[in-house]
Amino acid sequence: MITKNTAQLREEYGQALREELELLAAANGNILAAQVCTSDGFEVASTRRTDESHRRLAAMVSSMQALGAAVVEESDLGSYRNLIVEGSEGRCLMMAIPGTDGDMLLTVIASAQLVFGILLVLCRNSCQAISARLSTTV
Amino acid sequence: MGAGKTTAISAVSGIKMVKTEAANTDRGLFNKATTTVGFDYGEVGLDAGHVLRLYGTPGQRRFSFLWKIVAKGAIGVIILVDNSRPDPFDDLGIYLDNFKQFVDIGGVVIGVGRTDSNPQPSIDDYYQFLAQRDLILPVFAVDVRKSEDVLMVLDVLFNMLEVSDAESV
Repeated sequence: MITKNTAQLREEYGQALREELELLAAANGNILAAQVCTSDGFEVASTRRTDESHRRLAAMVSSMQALGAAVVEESDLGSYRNLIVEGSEGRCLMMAIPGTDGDMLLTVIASAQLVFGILLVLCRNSCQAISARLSTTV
Repeated sequence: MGAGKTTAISAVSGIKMVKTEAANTDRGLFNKATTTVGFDYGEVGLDAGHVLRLYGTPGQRRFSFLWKIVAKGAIGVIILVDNSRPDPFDDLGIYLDNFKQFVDIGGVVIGVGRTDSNPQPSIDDYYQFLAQRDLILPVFAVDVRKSEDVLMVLDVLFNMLEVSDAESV
């Protein structure tokens, strides 16, 4: 479980996480935005400057992830991994970052032009890289 | 956060509660390990096989988008206020504003927690605060760990809604 507050997480890992998110965004032009937030809804790093929309998104992702985890538990599907929301213009993928006990989440927004399987692989790879950047004491 | 919404639903739910809690990284606001980020869900059995569904929402303002979602289809609202907070009236004001549609129909009951350790403001102070807003709503000191307290608040809410219904006929 996270023992640090959001300010500490931003200070210690913000730069490294932004670098990973920029790498993810650079991997495919159809990735529109990426964000790492805490499971209680605070943005830690993002590909864009922090703004109102990203703060709201972090809170929404937190709720969605928690509801997704509740559905997984209710359905005896093991441990929660990710959640996909699909719109007519694109997808939003919300993924638990391995090694954080579900306390940190990666959110990626991509246009519909990006094939879903590629989005999934890119996000999984990014999650692994982010996990490696985070100390085990997060 | 910390007013006891999850505890309140847990105290009266007849089913295994659905909880959506996450690690709390905002210990400055309230020093507890976890906080509700989705919604809590529980059920209370009523007469004739009817079921009252209880939804508890996160209290922090960043989750206000959820308040609107949960309010759709709701018949009433119980606002739990933590009397140990620096300004519980400010907290209450936020919820009264955001659940105005229920305030307008008399579908709101206010429960004030932690009054034993924090007797001020008093329940009378709450009534004065409401009067300043031209509101008449029931306010009770509650211990959300006690099912009888939570059921009492639910009962009052039901009665308020029945009165409201009768007056609108």
